[in-house]
Amino acid sequence: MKDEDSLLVGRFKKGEEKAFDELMNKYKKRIYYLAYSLTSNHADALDLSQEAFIKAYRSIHRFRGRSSFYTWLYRITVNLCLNHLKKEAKKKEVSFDERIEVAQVDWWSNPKKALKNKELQEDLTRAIDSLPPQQKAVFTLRHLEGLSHKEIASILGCSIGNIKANLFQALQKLRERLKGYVEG
Amino acid sequence: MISCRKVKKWMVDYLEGTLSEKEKALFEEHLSKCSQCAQEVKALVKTQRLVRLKVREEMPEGFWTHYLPRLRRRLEEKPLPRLAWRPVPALALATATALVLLVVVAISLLRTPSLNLENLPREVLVEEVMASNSELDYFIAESFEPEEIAQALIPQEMLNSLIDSNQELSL
Repeated sequence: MKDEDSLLVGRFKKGEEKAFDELMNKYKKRIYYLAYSLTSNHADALDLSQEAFIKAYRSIHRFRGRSSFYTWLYRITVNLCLNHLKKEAKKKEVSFDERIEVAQVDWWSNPKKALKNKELQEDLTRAIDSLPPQQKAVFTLRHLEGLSHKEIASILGCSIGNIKANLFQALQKLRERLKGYVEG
Repeated sequence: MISCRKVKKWMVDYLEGTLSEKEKALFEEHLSKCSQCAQEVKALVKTQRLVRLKVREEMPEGFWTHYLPRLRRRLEEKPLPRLAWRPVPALALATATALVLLVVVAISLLRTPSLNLENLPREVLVEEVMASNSELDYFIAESFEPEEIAQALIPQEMLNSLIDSNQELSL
């Protein structure tokens, strides 16, 4: 996959516009869903994911290939989303202490039912949304996007130790927020 | 027996099953003797299982049909970058060279021996740069390290206070 991307980047740098179309087509869903996971809003995800491609397009001549193209594209997307989340957080002043109250339901014995339960899905989204931006980004990249610690460290420009610390703090906050489910 | 602090440090690796056999044995030995840590691990395992139940709402196929044409329009609306293969007029080239020199001189002036940004956590630098400057776009490509970006964009007084506050925190 990496070699294919490098070839496309190389072709685009030589002036072949269609090569960038191929890259956009290949990554549009991943980048859109990444932005959606981070913002939980379709309009924002559409705007930010497209903004990420525009940024990549405009600065690809500075991309030296030290990391893979998708890591670089993820980095741009995550930075845009983090900036957006910080601006939104300032506007909303979200309370991170609020606890989600739930009915005592045994989700563990019926995961299929859990996947379809709207209330549970909304509570999970609310709980993840309440995380501070950096922790939310780390948690999303690890648990929703399935990236490795090393890849996340490269995307966010911090150490693997820092990524693990953020994951631990995020899980602790989620445990607190979802106490009704976890202790039910 | 390992400490409760060590257990917290190893927690993510334990939950993800990436501890070595020896570390895992030490970790579980601690849990068998420390009910508080055992309770925390149990709750975090459940939390992790719970968040894995989150499903992603898929977009309809029609959405993707319009996604790329819309993106192409947006790309064409904005002025194109001056890419390497496009001819650059002599005056613009001279102006760009002068600007690059100016940035290089500014960066070298900002670099003082007492300013050791490598001791600062990267996320602090990244956060400060992202929060403080819209010029980040220019530096977003991987050719610049967070330390370089910070030195180019953040006033030196602010960097000094960042270093000071970070040192205070680590004491």
